[in-house]
Amino acid sequence: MAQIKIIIDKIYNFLKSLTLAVILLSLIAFFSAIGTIAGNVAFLKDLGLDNVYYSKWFLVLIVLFVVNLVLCTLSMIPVTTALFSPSAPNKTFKSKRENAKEHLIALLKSKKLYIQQKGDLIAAYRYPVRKFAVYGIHLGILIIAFGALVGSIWGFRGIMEIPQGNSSSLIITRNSYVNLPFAVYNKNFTVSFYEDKNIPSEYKTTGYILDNNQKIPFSTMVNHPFVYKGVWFYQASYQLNPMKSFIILNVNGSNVKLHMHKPITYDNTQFYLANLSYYNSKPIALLYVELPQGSASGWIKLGDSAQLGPINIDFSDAKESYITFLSVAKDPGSTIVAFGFIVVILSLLLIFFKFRRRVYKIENI
Amino acid sequence: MYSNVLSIANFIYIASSIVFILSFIVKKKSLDTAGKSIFVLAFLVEFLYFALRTIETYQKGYNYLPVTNAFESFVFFTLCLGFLQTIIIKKTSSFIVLLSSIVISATLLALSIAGFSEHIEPLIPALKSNWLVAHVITSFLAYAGFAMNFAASAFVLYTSRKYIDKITGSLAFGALLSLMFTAFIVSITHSKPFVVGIVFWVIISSMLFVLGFLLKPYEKKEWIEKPLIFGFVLLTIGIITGSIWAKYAWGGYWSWDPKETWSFITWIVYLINLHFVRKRKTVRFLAYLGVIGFVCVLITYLGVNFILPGLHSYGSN
Repeated sequence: MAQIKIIIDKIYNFLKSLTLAVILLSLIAFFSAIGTIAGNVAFLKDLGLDNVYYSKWFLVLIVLFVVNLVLCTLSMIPVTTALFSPSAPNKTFKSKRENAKEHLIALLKSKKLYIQQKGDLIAAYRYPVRKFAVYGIHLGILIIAFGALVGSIWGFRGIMEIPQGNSSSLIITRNSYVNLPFAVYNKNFTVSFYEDKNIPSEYKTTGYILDNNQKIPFSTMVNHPFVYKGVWFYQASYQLNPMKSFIILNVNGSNVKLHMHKPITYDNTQFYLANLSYYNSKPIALLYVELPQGSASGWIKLGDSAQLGPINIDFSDAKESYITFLSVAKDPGSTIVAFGFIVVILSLLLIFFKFRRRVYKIENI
Repeated sequence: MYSNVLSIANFIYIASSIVFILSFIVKKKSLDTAGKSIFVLAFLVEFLYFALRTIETYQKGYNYLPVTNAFESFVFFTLCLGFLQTIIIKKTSSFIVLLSSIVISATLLALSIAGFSEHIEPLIPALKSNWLVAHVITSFLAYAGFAMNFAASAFVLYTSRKYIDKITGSLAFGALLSLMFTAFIVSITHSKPFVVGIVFWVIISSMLFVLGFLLKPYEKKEWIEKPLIFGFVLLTIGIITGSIWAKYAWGGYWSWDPKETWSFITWIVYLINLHFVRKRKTVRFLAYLGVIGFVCVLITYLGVNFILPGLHSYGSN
C-alpha cells in the first residue's frame, strides 16, 4: 500500500510540475509549427499534420496542459498563504517605547502598507495584490479554454455560398454541414473601389433574412458582421457568376449581348468573353474577336471602343452577377472567452507592481 | 519631401552608436550622456517623420495610422523600439542603448534597399477596423521589448567564456551589423544582397568573435528580464486584441492562420522563458531562450507575411 501511495505521489508531483508544463507547451508549440508548413510538405501532409490543430491527440495535449495548470496553480496556494502569515523576520524594530508594536503599525500604515500580525511579528507588504496576478492569469486561461470548449461543442463555423438573386440556409463546416432554421437571400453583392484607384474599398452583400415569412433586412461588409439569432455572418469572399454575367457590345450600331464563356457569331465575326473584372473602378472585359481577316484579343474598358477591320466595337454595358461567400459562425462560448480575456489582461497588468514583504521583529531596548 | 527626415533620423541613430563606442574606448561619462541625448534626438526626429506621414495620410482622406504595409510596419517597429528605449533611457546602461541603436539603424538601412513601396495607398477592406490601432501598437511594442531582450541575451552569450555561446552571440550581432554593411554596399554597387549579406555575415561574425575576448563577461539578468516581462504582457494583449478583431472579421477568435499560430508559438517560448526567470535559471540559459524567442518573432513578423500564405498575407505588398 505504501508503495502505491509513493507512486501516486510521484505521478501527482509530475502532473503538477513546471517540467511537465514546459514539455507540454514545447510539444504544442512544435506541432503547431509543423502544422503551418505541413500544407507545403508532402509527407507531412500525408500524415495529416496540416490539420494537426483539430486532431484528437493535439486535444489530448491541451487537456493534459489544462490539468497540469490546475494542479500547478492549486499547489501554489500554500506558498502564497505562508507568504501572508508573518514568519522568519528579516528586520528588527528597535524602540524604547512601551507601545512599540502599536507605534510600528501606525508607522507602517502611514506608508500605506498592508499589515499582518502574528504574535510578536509584524509583516508589512507593498502591493500585496501582485501575488494574485499569477492566479488571475491562470484562471483567465482556464476560462478561455472553457469558453473554447463550449464553443466547439454547441457552436459551429462554416461557409455559405449564395449566388446573387438566390437564397440559402446551408452552411458547409470543416467536416460536416449545418442547416439554418432560416434562409439568407442575396439581393446584391457589390465591390466598390477608391476613386481612380485599383484598390477595393468595400465588399458588401445586401439582402434579406427569410424567417417564417418574415423579411428582415440583411447587410454585411468585411469587418462588419451581421448578427441574427446568435448567428454571425461575415463577408468572406466572392466570385463572378459566369452563368449570369454578361456584357453589351455595340457592333456597328447594333447591340450584341455576350455571356461569359458563350461565344456568339455576328456578322461573320465570333465574339468570346473570357473574363470580366475591374480596373480603376471600371468594369473591364477580356475579349476574343475572330474575324474572317484574322483574330484579336485583349482587355477593353467600359465605354471604350475599338476598330477591328470593318467592324467597330463599343463596350457599352456590363452586368456582373456575383456569388457571395459568407463566413457563418455561432459561438455560445464567445462571451465566456471574452470574460477570460479581460481576466487575463487585468491580472497581467498587476505584474508591473513591485511586491515587497518585510517581517519585523520588535525589540525593546 | 519629408522622406529625408527618416534618413536624417537614421544618421542620428548611427551617430549615437559611434559616440557610445567612443565612450567605451575612452571611458568618459560625459560621452555616455551625450550618446543618450543623441539617441533621444534621433527618436524625436523619427517621430516627427511618423507624424508627418500620418498627417499626409489623413490629408489624402484615408484616415488611418501609417502602420499597414511592409515599409510602414518596419518603420513603426523601429519607432516602437526607439520609444521603449527612450522612456527608460535614464535607467539603462549605455551599452543597452547602443544595442537598441544598432538594431534600429540596421533595420532602417536594410529597409532602404529592400525596395518596398513608400506610396501612401488607401486601406483595403480587411484592414478597415477600429481594432487595427490597438492590435498593431501592442504587437509592435511587444516586438520592441523582445528586440531589447534579444540584444541583451546576445550580449550575455557574446561575452561568455564558453566558445559555443560566443559563436552564437557573434553570429547574432554579426547578422545585425552585416545587415547595415550589406545595405551600404548594395545601394552603391547594386550587387546581389543575399550573396553580399552572407559574405559580410561570415566576415563580421568572425571579427566579432575575436574582438569578444576583450570584453568582460556580462551576466546580469536585469536587461533580459525587464524587456521580457514588458514584451510578454504586450504580446498577450496584442494577441487578445487580434483575436477580438478576428471575431469581427473572420468568424471567430482563432483560425490557426499561420501568423496566429506563430504568434502563439512565440508566446509559448517567452512564457517558458518567463517561468524560468522566476525559477532562477542561469543567465546563460535565459539568454539562449531569448535568442530562440526572437527567431520566432522574426518568423511571426516576416516569415509568415512573405513566405507562408494565410489570412494575414496582405501585409506583404
